[in-house]
Parts: sequence; structure tokens; C-alpha cells
Amino acid sequence: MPKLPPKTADELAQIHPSLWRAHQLGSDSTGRISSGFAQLDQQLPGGGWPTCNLIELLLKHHGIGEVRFLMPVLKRLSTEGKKLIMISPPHLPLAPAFNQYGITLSQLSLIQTDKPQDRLWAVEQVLQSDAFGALLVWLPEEKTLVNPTVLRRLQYQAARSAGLSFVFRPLRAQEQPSPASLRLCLTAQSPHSLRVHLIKRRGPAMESPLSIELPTPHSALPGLFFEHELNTTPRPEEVQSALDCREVYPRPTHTRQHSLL
Amino acid sequence: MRFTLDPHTQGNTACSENGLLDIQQSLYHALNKFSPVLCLKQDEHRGMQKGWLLEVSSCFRLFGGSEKLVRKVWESTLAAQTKVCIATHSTATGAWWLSKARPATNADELVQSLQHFASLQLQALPSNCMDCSDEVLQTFEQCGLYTIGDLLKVPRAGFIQRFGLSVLGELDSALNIQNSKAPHTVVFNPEETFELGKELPFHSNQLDLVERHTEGLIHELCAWLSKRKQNTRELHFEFQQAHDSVNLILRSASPTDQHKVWLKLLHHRISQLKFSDDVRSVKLNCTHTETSAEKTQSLLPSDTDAHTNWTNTCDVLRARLGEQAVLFAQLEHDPRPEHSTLLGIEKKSTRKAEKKPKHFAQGMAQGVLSPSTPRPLWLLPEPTPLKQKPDWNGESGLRLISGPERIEFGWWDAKPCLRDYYCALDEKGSTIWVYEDHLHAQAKKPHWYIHGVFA
Repeated sequence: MPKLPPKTADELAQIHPSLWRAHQLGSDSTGRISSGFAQLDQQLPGGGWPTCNLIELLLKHHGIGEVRFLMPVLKRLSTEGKKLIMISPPHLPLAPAFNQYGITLSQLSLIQTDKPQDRLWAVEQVLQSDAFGALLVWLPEEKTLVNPTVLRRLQYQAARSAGLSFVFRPLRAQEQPSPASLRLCLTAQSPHSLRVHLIKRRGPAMESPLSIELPTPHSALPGLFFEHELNTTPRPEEVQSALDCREVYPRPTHTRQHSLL
Repeated sequence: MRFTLDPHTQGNTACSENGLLDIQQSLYHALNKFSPVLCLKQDEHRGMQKGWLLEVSSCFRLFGGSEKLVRKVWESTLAAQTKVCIATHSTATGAWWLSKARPATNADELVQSLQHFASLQLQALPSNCMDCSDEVLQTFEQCGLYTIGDLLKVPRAGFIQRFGLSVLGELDSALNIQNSKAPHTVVFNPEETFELGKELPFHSNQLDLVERHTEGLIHELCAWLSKRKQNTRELHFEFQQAHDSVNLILRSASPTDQHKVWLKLLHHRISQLKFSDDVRSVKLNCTHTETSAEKTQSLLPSDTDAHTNWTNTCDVLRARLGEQAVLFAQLEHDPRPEHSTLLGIEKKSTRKAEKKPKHFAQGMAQGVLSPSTPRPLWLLPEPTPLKQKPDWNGESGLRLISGPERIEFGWWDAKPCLRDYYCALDEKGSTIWVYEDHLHAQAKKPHWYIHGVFA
């Protein structure tokens, strides 16, 4: 059998757009939506949150800023008229707070279920409908319920929908295999920042976690994040200037305030 | 075009009123496919003279021309249980008179009458075909006015003086002359209700078998809706057992005539039913219908498709998980956190500005908080009491980030609040929203609570 000459990276890329080498970030043809954080976009294959995929967000406990982390993309989708659907969030959403972040409340829907099995069924129904911009699901914590077979089923349905499908799971689930194409570990760094570690992506393993400054109502809606088209990454200098302008809860003049941070 | 029911042709006995209504209804269903403009006509002075006025001039092209249309109309009336007198004319009153005086005897004659729409055709008709009182008809006869042509020869001023404006109005309407006193006709809008029952071939309480037979009723209903270009939001089922019956209501957020939508809802709802006895028959009732909007099919996926998909999904979720399964968040203009979010099962598109008390907080006047006012994204359904008063240095498990923010509101209603809110970091690293309740500080109850989480 004649030995084939080695192919260059460009030649390999021409074979199929989904083909990538292990030391490179994957660049498939599915839609990408900027996360709103330049440093994170640089680490995400394609330069943003992947649509048509399950995205796992693993966290130790709620309240570390996991929803604020998604606010830039949620704001963008809601202003575009896309629906934001939350399935079984741990608590009730406070409408004024979402409003502060620029979320269009008319696009926000909440699905509540009593039984964990019903929650999985509801997720599948919503994924099948393909009528959402972003789906945020808090999956049951029972290992027996959320097994790889169930996740594969959800990933299959997510692949047929055009929206972003975020799944919140406990941190210990990182030891379990998952068909999700993107898995992120979120840990609290400070009240206004988050440590983000990409434990699974189409590309090389991430060496060190990212430190993400969480948006506040002031900075959740910087226009520069939303002026970009899909699959593009904001210019670093623009992002840096936006981050510099961020304020952390300016003190009201009429109240007494303490800050330990 | 006119259809007159002759009640005296059924075995030479007068039809009962119910029988006449049945004939009227069956003719309506036979004719409404030809034109949406179908008016019920009844003589004021001779009540048993009833019939349908069918406006077809705008529908010729849909049925391959006037001749083909008239033939189809003739054929569709053959199944009627009584003699139907049909005539055509360019005016409704003219057709009405002709149907009374000279109805067509066969389809060919009816087609030929299409060629003679001139007023001359009417002039030979007897004057008693008009809808007038017996006194007026008697006067016609006494004056020697035996035909419509004779009436037309009478000067208008004298005609009005002798017979009145309404009689002239009818005469003018037949000749297509504008007259405010002409008899007016209104398009018939029947009460659109659907009711159909089905006896099961076997008595069973197995859900899948009952569902299969119920599906047939839904198919019948959707065909009925589609024919009328109507949609519905609600279906009522009654599953009749030997001594009892089980009711089931299916609801759709958006009106639809799609059988797939209703079948899917039925599948989820019927699985939750429990029949104590064998089901013997099923009855479907649809009492309210809505006219379906004109649909423009788009080549590419549109926002309308996504909206339809979403409303259908909401229906399915509600059918299986309950009405409260899908909630929509809305902003309520109230500084009290627990009253600032309204979670409802319906979206209220336009909410009238409610009258606010004078003490309404300035910052909430527009319903939008200042971005500098910290608010958590999650609110606990019930505030969780803290075991002890926080000392903010970490020993009690909480470290202060910011605060306090005083919220004092609602002293005029039953749920007043006087609280100082703080943002704090708990021992797990979560940012939480804590408040001190000053209103109940005198009581022995704990007055420090966790109220929200900055997710």
C-alpha cells in the first residue's frame, strides 16, 4: 500500500469543517453566541457559547454568581425577542433584579415540576419545541435519575434545537461521563468574580482556570458585547475598558454601608 | 339566488316549527360552502315564507363560472326533505319574488334564468308576491294593480301616499333603486357549537382503548372546524359510565383546529384519568369557536412558528404537569420584594397603570430599580430565619458586603414592612440577602432572615 504524504493543517481542515486536531480548538459550523467575556470566548471553541449543544455548568452550591455569569448572553437573547426558559430553578426569580440586568421580562418563562422525572420530561419537551433562545435547567441531583443515558438523550434533543441549553449540575458530577460538548466548573472567587474551569471542550485541556468578573447591573449591558456578530470575539482593549468602568454596587448616599471587600 | 321552503308540500300537512328549523339548518350546511354571504329571509306578513338568500356573484370563478355554480347549488338542494323553490336574479328581492311566483323546475331552467336579469322579468309577476299586509294586497286588487308592472306605472308620489314608504322601498329594492326603506338582510351567523357522542363498541376502562375511540371524535371536530375556518381553545369530554360520568376539559393557549395538537393534549390528560367503572360512551362538546386568522405560509422559519411551537409546548406541559407548571414573570410596582414579582399562568400584554398611593416610593415610580440598588436574582419563597443576630465578622457565618438599605412600605395595608436589608457572604461563599425585621422586633420571634440569593 503506498504511503500517503502527511497533510498540513489547512488540508485537513478542508476535509470537513468539523475536523480539528487535539491541540487546536474545534471550529464546527454550529452557531456560536458570544459569552460577553472576551477571555472566556477565546477559550471556547468557535469563540462563544455553542448552540445545538448541551452546556454543563458544574457548581458546588447555588448563589456563587452562576446566573450573573450568563447575564450578558441572556440579555442579548431577550432583547432579540428570544425566549428564556428556566426549568426548576432553586428559588423564585425576582423580577426587578432581572429587570436591572436588562432582561426583557416578557421573554422569561418558568417551568416548575414537583417530581424529578417530570423535570426531565419537561426539558425534553422544551428542547423538542425548539422555541427558545436559552434554556436553563437545574437537573435533579440523584445519580440514578441523571445518568449518561438520560444526558445523551438530552444532548440528542439539544442538537436538534437552535438555542443555548445550559444545564446546572452539582460539582461532583464532573467525575461522571457526560455527552455534553462543553463542561465548565464554576467556583466562587469573590462576591463579584467567578473562577471558571473548562473541564471538557472540543480542544486541548485547559491548563488554568479563568477568573471572570461578574457583571453588575451597570456593566451587564455594555453595548460593545452585543454589537458583535456571531462567531466573533470582542477586541481585548474594548473589553478591558468595559471592565475598568465596572462599579461594584455604588453606595447610596442615604444609607450607611460597610464593605469588607 | 333564493331558496324557499314550502311547508305545505310534506304530505300536504304543514311542517312543524322544529321540522322547518331542521330543514333550514340542513340547507344552510349544504349552501354555506358556496358563499360566506348567506342571509335568512322571512316575510314579515307571511311568517311561514322562509328561505335563504345566497350572494354568489363574487364566487363564480371559484366554481368554474356561473353556470357550473348554479348547477352545483341545484344538486346540493336535492337532498332536502321538502320542496325547495329556487330562483336567481340580480337583486335579492327580485330573486325572492321569483322563487315565490315562478321558481325554476329544473337545473337547466335555473341556468337559463341567469341570462334574463332584466327588470322586465319581474314586471310580469303578480303583485301579491310582495311582502305586504292583506289590506295592501286587497287594495292592489281593487285598484286593478295585478302585476308588478302595474305597480311601477303608478306615480311615485301617489304610490307613497296610498301604500306607504315601506312598500315602495321593497319595490325599489327589486329594481336595484336605492331606497332607505328597502328591506334589509343580515348575514346569518349561526351559533357554532359542536356536540357529538360515540358509543363504544365494548365497555372498557382501559385508557388506551378509550383514548383511541375518543380520537375519532377529535378528528370529526377538527374537520368541522376546518370547514368553517374556525378554531377553538377548549374541548369538553364526558366519559359516561354505568352510574357515573367523568368529565375532562382540554385547553389550548391559542385557538387551533389542528388535530395533532388536541390529540397530544388528550394523550397526556387521559393518562391521568381513573375510571371507576367501564366507559360506555364518550361525548365531545365544543361550545366556543373563534374565526381563524388568515395564515401566510413562510418559506423560511419565522417567529410565528416559534411562538406557535412554544404555546403548543406550554399546553402539553400544563396538560401533564398542571395549570401552574408554566409561569410568566411580571414586574409589580411594589418595593416589598415578595410583592414585586408576579408569577402568573398568563401573560398580561397591557396592564393599566394602577393608581398608586401617595407614599409610593419615588424610585419605583417607573417600575425600574436604580442599577445601584442591590437586588438578588433569587428570592426565597419564605424568608429563612437566622439562628442568631449576625456580627458581620464571620463568627456567625456571615460577612457584610453592603447595607443596610431601609425598605419601609405598606403601612396602609395589611402587610406592612419595615426592614433593613444587607448583602452578606455566607460561609459557603454564596452572596445572600439578609434583612432585619424592625416591625416585629418587640416580639420574641427571630427577626433576622435570609430573603434572597445573588445567584
